[in-house]
Amino acid sequence: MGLEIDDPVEILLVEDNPDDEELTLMALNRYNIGNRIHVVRDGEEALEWIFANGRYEGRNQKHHPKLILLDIKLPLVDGLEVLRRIKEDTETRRIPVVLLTSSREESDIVKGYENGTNSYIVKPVDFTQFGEAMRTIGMYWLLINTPPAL
Amino acid sequence: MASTYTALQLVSAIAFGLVGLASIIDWARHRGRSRAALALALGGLGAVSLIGQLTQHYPNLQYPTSFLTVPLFLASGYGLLLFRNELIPYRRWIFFGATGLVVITALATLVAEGLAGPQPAQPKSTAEVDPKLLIAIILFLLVWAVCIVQPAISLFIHSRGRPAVQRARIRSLSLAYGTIIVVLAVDIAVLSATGFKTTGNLGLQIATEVIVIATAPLMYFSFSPPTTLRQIWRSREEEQLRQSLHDLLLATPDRTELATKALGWVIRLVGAEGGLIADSQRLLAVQDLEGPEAEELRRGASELMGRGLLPMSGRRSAFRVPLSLADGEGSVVLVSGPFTPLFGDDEFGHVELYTVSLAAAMDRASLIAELRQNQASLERRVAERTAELQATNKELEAFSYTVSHDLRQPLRAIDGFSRALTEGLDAQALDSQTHHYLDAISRNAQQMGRLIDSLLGFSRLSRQALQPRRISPQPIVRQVADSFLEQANGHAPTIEIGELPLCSADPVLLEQVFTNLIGNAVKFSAKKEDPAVEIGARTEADGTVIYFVRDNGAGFDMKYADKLFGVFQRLHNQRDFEGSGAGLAIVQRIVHRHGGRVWAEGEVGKGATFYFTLAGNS
Repeated sequence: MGLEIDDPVEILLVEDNPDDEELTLMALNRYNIGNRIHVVRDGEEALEWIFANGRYEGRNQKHHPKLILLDIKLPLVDGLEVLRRIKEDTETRRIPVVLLTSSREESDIVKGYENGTNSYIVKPVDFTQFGEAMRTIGMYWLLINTPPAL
Repeated sequence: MASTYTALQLVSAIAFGLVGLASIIDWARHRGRSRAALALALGGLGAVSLIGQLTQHYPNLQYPTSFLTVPLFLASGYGLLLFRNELIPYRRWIFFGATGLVVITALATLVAEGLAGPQPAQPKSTAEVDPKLLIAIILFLLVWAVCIVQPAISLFIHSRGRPAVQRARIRSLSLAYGTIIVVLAVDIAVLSATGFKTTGNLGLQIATEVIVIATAPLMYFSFSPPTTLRQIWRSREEEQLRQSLHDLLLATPDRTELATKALGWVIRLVGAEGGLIADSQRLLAVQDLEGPEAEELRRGASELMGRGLLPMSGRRSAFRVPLSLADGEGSVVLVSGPFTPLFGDDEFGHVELYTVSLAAAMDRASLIAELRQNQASLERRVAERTAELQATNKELEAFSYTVSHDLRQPLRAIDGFSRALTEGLDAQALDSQTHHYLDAISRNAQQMGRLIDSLLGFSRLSRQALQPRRISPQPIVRQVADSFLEQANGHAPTIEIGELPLCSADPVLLEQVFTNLIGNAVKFSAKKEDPAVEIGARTEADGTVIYFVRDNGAGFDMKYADKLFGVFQRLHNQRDFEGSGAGLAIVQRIVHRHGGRVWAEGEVGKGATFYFTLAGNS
C-alpha cells in the first residue's frame, strides 16, 4: 500500500481473506476507484484504525475514510459489531459503510440495516459481476454521492 | 248397635288373627331374627284377639285361657321390643332389664290371677275386681305399653333417611302400634272418667273397634307390602334415581367416581346395608364393608355366573348382579342387613336395569379416560418431535449459513484469479489450449456457485412461512410466459394459456412453481421445429383442480418418472440442457407445502406434461 500511518485514506477495506482482499483490490483498480486504500484484517484492527488507538495510536482520527468496505465474517470482532460501533459514535457515524459478504442470509441483511449500514453487497462468484458491483459502489459513494461535511 | 259392635269385634279378631298368621308364615318362609320378632309380636296380638273373641261366646273359658292370654299379650309387646333390638340394638343392660321386667310382670300377673281366682265375666266396675289382680293388671298394661311405645317411636324416628319402601314399612308398623296405644289410652281415660263402668258407652266401643281394625292392614304392610304399594312408595325415589343416573352418565367421566356414586344409589334403591362394585379385575367402589371382606365377596362374585346369592359370615347375606362391561364381566354386590326387605322380582329387575345403565356409563367413562390418555401422550410426542424438528431446523440453518459463506468464497477466488490470468495473459497471445482450460475453470466455478445458490434457495423455501391467499393464477402465468417469450431470442415457442380457476396459494411461491415448470417446458422444447407450450387446468368430479404445463419437447422415459423431483436429479445431460437440477425439487416442495400433489407424464422425444394440485382450491 505504501501509505504512511497518518496519510488520508479514501477507502478502508476490512477483509480477513487474502484472496478476497486481492480480488477486491483488483476490481477496484480495474476501474481506478480509490487510489488510497487501507486494508485491515480483523474487526479489532478495524476499530483501532477507525478510532485511532492501539496499533494506530497517533493516527489523526479526523482523517476519516470516504468509504468503509466491511466484510461481515471477521475474526475477533465481527463485521456487524464493527458497524454498530461506527454508527454509535457521533464522529464516525457519517462515514458511509458498505457491507461486503458472501452471505445471502436475510437475517444478516436485516441486522446490517438495523445497525445502520448504508449499503449491502453480496459478493458474487462471477468475477465479472464482482468487478461490476465494486465499480458501482465506488462510483456512487466516492464520486456521485456528496459526503456530508464532516 | 250392639250387634254391629259384636260383628266388628269378630271382624277385628279375624283380621288380627290373619295378620298374625301371615307374619308367622312369612317368618317360616324366610327366617331371620327380625322376622321372628315381628311374628312373635303380631302372632301374639292375633292369638289374644282370637282368644278374646272365643271367651265372648264361652265366658267360662275366660279364667283358664287368661293364663294363656297374659303371656301372649305381653309377648305381642315384647316382640316389638325384640324387633326394634334387631334393627337398632339396645344397650345390653337396657335389653336384659326390659326382658327381666317383662318376665317378672308376666309371672306376677299369672300369680295374681291364680290367687284372685275367676272373676266376674262382665264386671260392672273395677270395684268388682280383686284389688291385687287390678294392681297386677295395671302394672302389666304399663309394661306392655312401654314395650310398644318406645320401639314405635324410636323406629318411626329411625325410619327417616331410609329408602322409601323401608321407611313406609317401618312407619306403618309404628303407626299401627301407636294407634292401638292411643286408642287404649283414650279408652282408659274415658273409663276412669265414668268410674270404670265397662258398659254403656257403645259409641266409643264401636269407634275403638273400627280404628283398631284399620291398624290390621298397616301391620300386614309392615312385613309384606304388595308390589303395587311398593311401587307407589318408591315412585318419587325412582324419579330421583333416574335423574341421578342421567347425571351420572353425562357428568361423571371418572370411572371410580362413577362407581362410588352409583353404589350409593343402588344401595339406597334396595335398602342394602352395604355393597361393592367391581370390574373383572378389581374393586371400584366399596361401601360399609371391611377391606378383606369386600375382597372376598368380589372374588366370590367373580366366580358366579349371572345373579345369585353369596355366603357371608354373621346374620348377613349378599347377592350379586352381573355388570357387563366392555372389558369383561364385573359385579354389583349388595349386602342385606336387618333393615333390608326381602327382594321380589320387582327389585331384582330394577337393580338389573340399573346395572345395564351403569355398565354403559362406566364403559363410556373408560373410553373417555383412554381417549384423554391417548391425546395426552400424542401431544407429548408431538411436542417432543417438534422440539427435535426445531433443533434439526436450527442445525440446518446454521449449515446453510456456513455453506453460503464458506463455499462461495473459494469459488469466487477460483473464478476471479482464472479471469485475472486470462486477462493478464491475453496481452501475451495466450495459446488456445490454456485459454480453454481457464475458461473451463471459470465456467465450472460459476456453475457450482449457481448450484449452491439453488440449494440454499431450496432450503430457505422450507423455512419460510406460507402466506396463502385466494388468487387467480391467470395473470401470474401470463406474466411468467411473457418474460420467457422476451428471453427466447428468435426461436420462441407458442404459449397457449387455458382457463385457470382460482386457488388458495402463496402468490410468490405459486409464481415460482409456474416459472420453473414453464421454464422447463420452454427449455426442453427449444430444440423442436415448432416448439409449443400449453398451460391449463381441469376440474375433477370431487372439485379438485388439476393445473398442468405441457410441452412438445424432449420428454422423458416414464421409468425414470420417480427421479424427476429429486434434488439435483437430472434426466438430461448438462451439455444438452443447462440447469441446476433443483427446479422440479423446488416445485415439489412448494406444492407439498400447499398440501397438494405433483406428478408428470412424458414420452422420449414427444414431450412432457407436469400436473399439480393445491389443497383447498375446490
